[in-house]
Amino acid sequence: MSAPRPAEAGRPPWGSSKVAKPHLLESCLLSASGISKSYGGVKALDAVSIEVEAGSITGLIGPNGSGKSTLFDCICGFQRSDAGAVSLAGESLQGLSAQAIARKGVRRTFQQLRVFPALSVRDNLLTSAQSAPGFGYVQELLRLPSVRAHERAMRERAEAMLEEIRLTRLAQVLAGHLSYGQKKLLELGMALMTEPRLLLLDEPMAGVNPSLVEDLKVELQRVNDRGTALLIVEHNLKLVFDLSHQVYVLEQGRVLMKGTPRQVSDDERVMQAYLGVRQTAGAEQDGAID
Amino acid sequence: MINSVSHYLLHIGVMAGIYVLLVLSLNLMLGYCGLLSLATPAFVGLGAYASALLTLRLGCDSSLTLVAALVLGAASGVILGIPSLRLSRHSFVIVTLSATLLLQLVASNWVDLTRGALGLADIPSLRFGSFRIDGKPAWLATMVVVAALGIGVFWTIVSSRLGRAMVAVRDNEPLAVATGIDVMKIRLFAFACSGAFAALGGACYAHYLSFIDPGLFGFSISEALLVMVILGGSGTLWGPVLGAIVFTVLPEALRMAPELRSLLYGVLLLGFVLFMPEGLARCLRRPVNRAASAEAGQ
Repeated sequence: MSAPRPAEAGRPPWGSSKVAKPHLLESCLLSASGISKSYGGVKALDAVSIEVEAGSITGLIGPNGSGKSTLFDCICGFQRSDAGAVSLAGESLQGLSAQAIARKGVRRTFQQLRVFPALSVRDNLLTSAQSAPGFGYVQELLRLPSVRAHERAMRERAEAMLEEIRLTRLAQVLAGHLSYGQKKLLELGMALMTEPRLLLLDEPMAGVNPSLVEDLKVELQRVNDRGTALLIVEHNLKLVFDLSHQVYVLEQGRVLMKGTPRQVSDDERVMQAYLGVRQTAGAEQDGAID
Repeated sequence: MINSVSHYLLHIGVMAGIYVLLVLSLNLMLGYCGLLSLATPAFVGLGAYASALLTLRLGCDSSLTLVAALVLGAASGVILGIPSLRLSRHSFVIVTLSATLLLQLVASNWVDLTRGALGLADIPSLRFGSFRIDGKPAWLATMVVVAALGIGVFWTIVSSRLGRAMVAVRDNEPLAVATGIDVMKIRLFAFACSGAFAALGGACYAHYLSFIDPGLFGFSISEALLVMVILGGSGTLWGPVLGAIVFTVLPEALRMAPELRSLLYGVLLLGFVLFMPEGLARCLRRPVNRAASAEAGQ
């Protein structure tokens, strides 16, 4: 993998000694260790451990059915893992509900594009800021000054976000009426409304027009530059290798390897598991593999 | 003659006002939370019996009995909601229906308190201190004010973050969870409000008609409310309110043709379902949405 990664210059090099360290690093934001999950007799995840550094971009790749989305679900509290522990900046997320984890600053998107179709684009963004503090029922109904001030701040933020995702003109339109690409942008905007510490993206490029892929990539880079760590599941390997500082490869519910994009793209096993042997040197040329 | 006609019209007006409150109750659950609650008659009955008994037995002032009805409605919404809102949407329907039928049984059999099937008669009209609401014109004015207040509170709820959260949970629960919305809490809140609206409506009903019996818990109220909410346009503010008025007036208007009444009503309902399946409100608003989607779809 020789493509230059602009964000890498200012970051620590991902040397092999660091990659091999099994314990919490000082700057480790998310740590999931020994996550196992079975459905009946099928082991979807088998003692998977991953770590995401604060402010980094981490890629998660693997063939279909390798457990990527299940791992997302277990991290975000959408599914209970059978074993293992998840912590955010050293604080355990064990036993917390999905909404509580979201409120801790862990946001996710879904493999299937999800927006609130019956709400306007602006209300979609406002609804996504729901987890902000000051969300009390009584205060809300009495429209106390603190609530109004917060609502104003959120509306300003929503306007800025509309500007950023270039949907200002469609702010009043019901989200269900948007085109697929517009919904994609809206989904990202929604996830960013509360400035999450960690954003988990489940196939952000799936179904996206190639012309929009570059735009989204720039957008993700910008999100990361502002301090949000990203964990990206994606089949577009070029994108993952371009953006990520570290890449995990899952295969059949296990971590096959982790390393820098270069280490991963050069690894024989990964190529066999994921790309097929003949493409050993071809990740850059081929890019998207679905 | 003219006097009795105008009294009859005033009566329809008062009933429409009461139905507006009940429709707000169902619309909050069905329209905004996407949950079919058949517990509205249960809340209506609780509010009606509570307010009537407090007045009859203890001679309480109506300001107190109405507040008691509101609190009881909200509390029973929470009590019934805690177990039932965890269930699937289908099970929720059954549990709410069962709760209503259970309360009907209690009202029929707790004879010492409710006089059973004989019902409670001679319930005094609403009285606030020395001010008594007497006569149909006063009742109509009262119900217009109460219904307007109800609509105001409803609007406050649905236009706030709480309302957006309800719609969010209704339309995409996983995404709502991912944005940090506490699904159970927001649904409980909606159910409590639903209970309060219906109980207030029930209390007004009891004091207005001065007679209630366990039939109040019957399915017929749910039936009428479903017609009003769905054909009015569930999930909108004004649709069900409009539905409450239209479908209170319509059956009465059809009394002019007594033999054909049921038939005509049936045909009209079918017509509404066929030609305005999304309800009166959305039918009136449709051109706007079309323009919006045309712009988005470029």
